[in-house]
Amino acid sequence: MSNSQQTSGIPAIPAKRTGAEIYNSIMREIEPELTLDQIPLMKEKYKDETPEKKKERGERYAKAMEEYERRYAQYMQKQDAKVRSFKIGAIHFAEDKASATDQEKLKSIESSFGTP
Amino acid sequence: MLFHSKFTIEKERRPVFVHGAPAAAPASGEAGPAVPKTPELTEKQKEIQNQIDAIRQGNPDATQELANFQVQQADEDNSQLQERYKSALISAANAYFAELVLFGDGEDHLATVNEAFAPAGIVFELGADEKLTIGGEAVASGGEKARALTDAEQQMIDEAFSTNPKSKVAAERLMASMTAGSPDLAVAHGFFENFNKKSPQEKQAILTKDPAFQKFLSEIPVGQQEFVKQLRQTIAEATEGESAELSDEEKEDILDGARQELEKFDASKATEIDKNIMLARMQLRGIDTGNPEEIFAKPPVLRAFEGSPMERGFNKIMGLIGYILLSIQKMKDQMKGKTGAEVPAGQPAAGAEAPAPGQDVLRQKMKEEMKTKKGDRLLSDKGAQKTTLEGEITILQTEVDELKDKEDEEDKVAFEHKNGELQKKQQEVAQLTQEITMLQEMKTTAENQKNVLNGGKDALISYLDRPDARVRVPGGMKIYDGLKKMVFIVNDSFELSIANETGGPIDRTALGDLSGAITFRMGTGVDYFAINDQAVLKQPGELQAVFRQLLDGFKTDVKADEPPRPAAPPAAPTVPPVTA
Repeated sequence: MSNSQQTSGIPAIPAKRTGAEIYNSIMREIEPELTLDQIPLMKEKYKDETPEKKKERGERYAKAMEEYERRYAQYMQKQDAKVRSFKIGAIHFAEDKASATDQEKLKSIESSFGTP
Repeated sequence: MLFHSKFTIEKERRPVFVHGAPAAAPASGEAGPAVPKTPELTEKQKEIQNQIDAIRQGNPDATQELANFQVQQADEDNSQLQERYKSALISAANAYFAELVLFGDGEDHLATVNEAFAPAGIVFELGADEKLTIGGEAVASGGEKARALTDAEQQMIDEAFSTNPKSKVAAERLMASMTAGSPDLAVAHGFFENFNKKSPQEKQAILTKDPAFQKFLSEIPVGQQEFVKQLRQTIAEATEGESAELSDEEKEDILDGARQELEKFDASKATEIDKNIMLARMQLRGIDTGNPEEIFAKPPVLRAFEGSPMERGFNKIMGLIGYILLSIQKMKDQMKGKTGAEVPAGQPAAGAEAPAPGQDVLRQKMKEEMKTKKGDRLLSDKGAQKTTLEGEITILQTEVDELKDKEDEEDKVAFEHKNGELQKKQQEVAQLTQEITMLQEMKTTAENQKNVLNGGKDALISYLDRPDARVRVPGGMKIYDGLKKMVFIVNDSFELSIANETGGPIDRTALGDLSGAITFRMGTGVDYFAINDQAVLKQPGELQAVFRQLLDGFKTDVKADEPPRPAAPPAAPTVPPVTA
């Protein structure tokens, strides 16, 4: 996902990622078997699994989901910070624009004083 | 794990996980999402916890449901984030608008605000409460940001929509969002082709009669339906109040502008795509392009496009879409060397790809670059660089086209310069494409290796999980302990590395013990776990086979060590039934 970018001073809204993209990008680093394309393959892959192994795998997956929750919370905290930063950028942009308008008016007034 | 202060932890229950910290309360003026109420949060957390418990109890198949829930949650959260971004822009625009109303000159303050915010791909409208709201699609999807228009593009749109500022804004937004490779472009392209298949009578019916419009919508894909609905609505609003027919003066203005542009164009020397681009420009000006031969005749025979305001506006927009699509196509064709466009002497042929370095050299170059920047970041940056260059190429291509057949010496010099710049950027894009492909390949290869080796490691651990197996296999305990303390990972430079079981730096002493035990079993004297200072494996290719051999060896050891089964007792003699 691209970060907020400046285009001629105005911050641009970052492209929206889908829930699937976000989920996969986080889960891939924790437990690749739990990415969205791998989950449907599980049944066939582990069809001969013993109950003990199944329980071990379940424990591994449960931990992975817990870790996912933690990392997702961190991801959302970062996004919050980006939104706040974006908001400040937008306000500054508007202030600069308004200030530019004022400067033009001042110049116009000054130059009218200068003409005989 | 995060513990939410509102929940008590009971001994027999697992801790509840917080699905993100509660959203900060929106600042004044920001229309952010409401902070989730406690009961709703509790329900969600309960649902997640129930699913995790089910998975833990040996029902790993429940992961699909939980994954779907998490995907949905991420979708909702990110939609809220987008709304917050839009809300921030709306607040800034309203602040600027208020300044203009109080202190600005002129009357069209809305146009001034829209002009200022145009590079962000935003168009504002004035609501009934005299506050600005967003009128159109604000975000360029798929990572492509809306770009600023070039002077030439702006002039083209200014001339085409000189009598209708609202249509002009819609056209500007459309042009800025349709960058090469963007999903918006793909949607517009699909719609453009579907609409142009219709006869002139069908097109007129679609634009003026609702049943025909609804029938057309049902024939096209969903993505195009939204696009054309929005387009139709925008044009209807923009052309509301326009006179039902063009006045003579308006017609004359349209024809004059078109004649001036056509004077500089020699159709006999132009390629097919150049002629089509010129027809699109004529359509954008409001010319009826039903008879191209008449348009390209010397002198040209021109007619203004007649019809209702809606039809005229739509026709111009179709010209604009056609112009954008054809320009991008021309640029792509030139990169492939298909157009046969003339090349100034001394310059490489248009479309010539950057000389491809050997794959090894390219791989080495990427490794060097990843010493100073993480692989994922490098990929993302190169992608963004390529996007920017492609946008610049589109702009340059337009400028080169305009200068191509000029006779003036100054124009010829400008053409040489711009054409050289264009080809240089095309080569840069070709180089970036190769680098991006190489980086993706390096990442995928490392990820695949990691998955295979972790799978092999887990299979060995699973087998040695049985205490009797660990005892029976020579070196089994050491190998089991060592494997449990390590994991294969892909580092920031897309290299296969070793980490400890929690993903932190590997304990090299423990790794040395493991490696020694395995080398001893294999009897080869090779250190299969040799790593460099950054814990990157030196010979990852051999490990997969090693793991397989180890597992086979373990099974053999366990079987050989099993006590012999006692001989089956002799079958008891059968006693014949006693008969009376």
